[in-house]
Amino acid sequence: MTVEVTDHRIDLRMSPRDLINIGVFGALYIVTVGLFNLLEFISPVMTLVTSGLSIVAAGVPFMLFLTRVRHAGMVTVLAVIVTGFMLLIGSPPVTLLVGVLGALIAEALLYMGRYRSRQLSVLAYAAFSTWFVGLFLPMFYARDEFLSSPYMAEMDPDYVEKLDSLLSPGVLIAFDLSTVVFGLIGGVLGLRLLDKHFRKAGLV
Amino acid sequence: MSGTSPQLDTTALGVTVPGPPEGAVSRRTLDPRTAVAILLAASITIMAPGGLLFVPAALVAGMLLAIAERAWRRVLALPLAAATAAAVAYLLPLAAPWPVLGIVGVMGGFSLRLVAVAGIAAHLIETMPPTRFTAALRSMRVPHAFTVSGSVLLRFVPTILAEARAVRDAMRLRGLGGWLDMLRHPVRSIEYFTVPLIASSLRSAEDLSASALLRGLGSQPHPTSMHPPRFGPADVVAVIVVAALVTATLLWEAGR
Repeated sequence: MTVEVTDHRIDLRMSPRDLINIGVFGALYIVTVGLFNLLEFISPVMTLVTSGLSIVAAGVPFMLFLTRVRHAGMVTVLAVIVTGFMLLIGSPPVTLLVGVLGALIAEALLYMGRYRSRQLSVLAYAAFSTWFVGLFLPMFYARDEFLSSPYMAEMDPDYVEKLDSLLSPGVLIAFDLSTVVFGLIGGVLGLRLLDKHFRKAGLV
Repeated sequence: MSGTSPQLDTTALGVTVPGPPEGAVSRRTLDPRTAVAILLAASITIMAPGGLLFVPAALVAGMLLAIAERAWRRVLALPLAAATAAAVAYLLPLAAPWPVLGIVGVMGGFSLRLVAVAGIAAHLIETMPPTRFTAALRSMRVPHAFTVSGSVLLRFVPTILAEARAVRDAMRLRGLGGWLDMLRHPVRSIEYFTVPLIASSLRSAEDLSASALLRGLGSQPHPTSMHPPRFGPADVVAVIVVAALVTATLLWEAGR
């Protein structure tokens, strides 16, 4: 890593303990997201509900992770290894880009709060959670191709039109924005549980 | 590596040990770098607009990898899963023309792409031990912040899954848990599940990180590897097959 100590004190140096913390919380984050996403197997229509639920649930390990972040770069590294892992298990590559962008916004928010602001840490989790959008971005082209496929040409035009309105870009964008809302809920829940359980146990 | 394996395969009693020992690299296994390159190539082309074209090629590649790995169940499961997804995408709207089911159809089309990529990803997950994988990442000059934290992540996921199983059992013992309960009180189930999971995982994390630090994890930017990743004949074959599949796809598209 490049070492950069300026007047604004953006310090990117990672101690081995930082890196281990990132790995541990990355694993906790992935397992939490994965287990709550298992509900998806009940039916594919549940996908939207389960991603919301897993964003909220993963707020708990993430907020605990933030209490151990003292300098820039850690959230970005977490985003890279989490989305990199998702890439290895077959997620769309856009996820990595979206994840890093979201993490950079989160870093900026945390920096503004000097890594101690509770309100800004909730916003940072919402920004971080936007990587979920990457998982569903290919739905945009999947939709176009599906609607313009030869199979659809044989269908009733009325049907195609109705489907088009049900799956309009507006609806998909609304879903994308909902990840931010779920992120905020997850951040608040994470902070509450932090106060209720982890602070008492001395884990914060 | 293959030269030493005959000694490892038999014990002193002459009993053949089932399967190669952990960390041993057979000649049929791809170098992690080749496997990752194939996975990325498949996932970038398939997830891009118009990527449906490459789905058959990726399915064939996934099946060939499964055959090379002798994962016979996957050889059968992969085309079955793809056929199911394709049927949901293209036959369901014909059978029942309701717009709500059309959404399921679009998701079916999306799942078809996911299945095609997952076939290749499954091979990578099944055949790559985390240590080999991180050694390959290091040789690709990935910055050490990512390789160290990434290897810790890969090391921890199984530990945390074991903890999660224990937490779930404990919840069941107290009559909590169950899918319906979770949907009825989502926030409460999140609390009941994540808090003990994190608390117990962090306890084992303390031990593991102390041990890892003691053994010098992260202190040396360029650790060496017991089995440095090397490209072998299997990689050449894989590259030729993938090139052939891509050419066939492009020729087929041009011929249409």
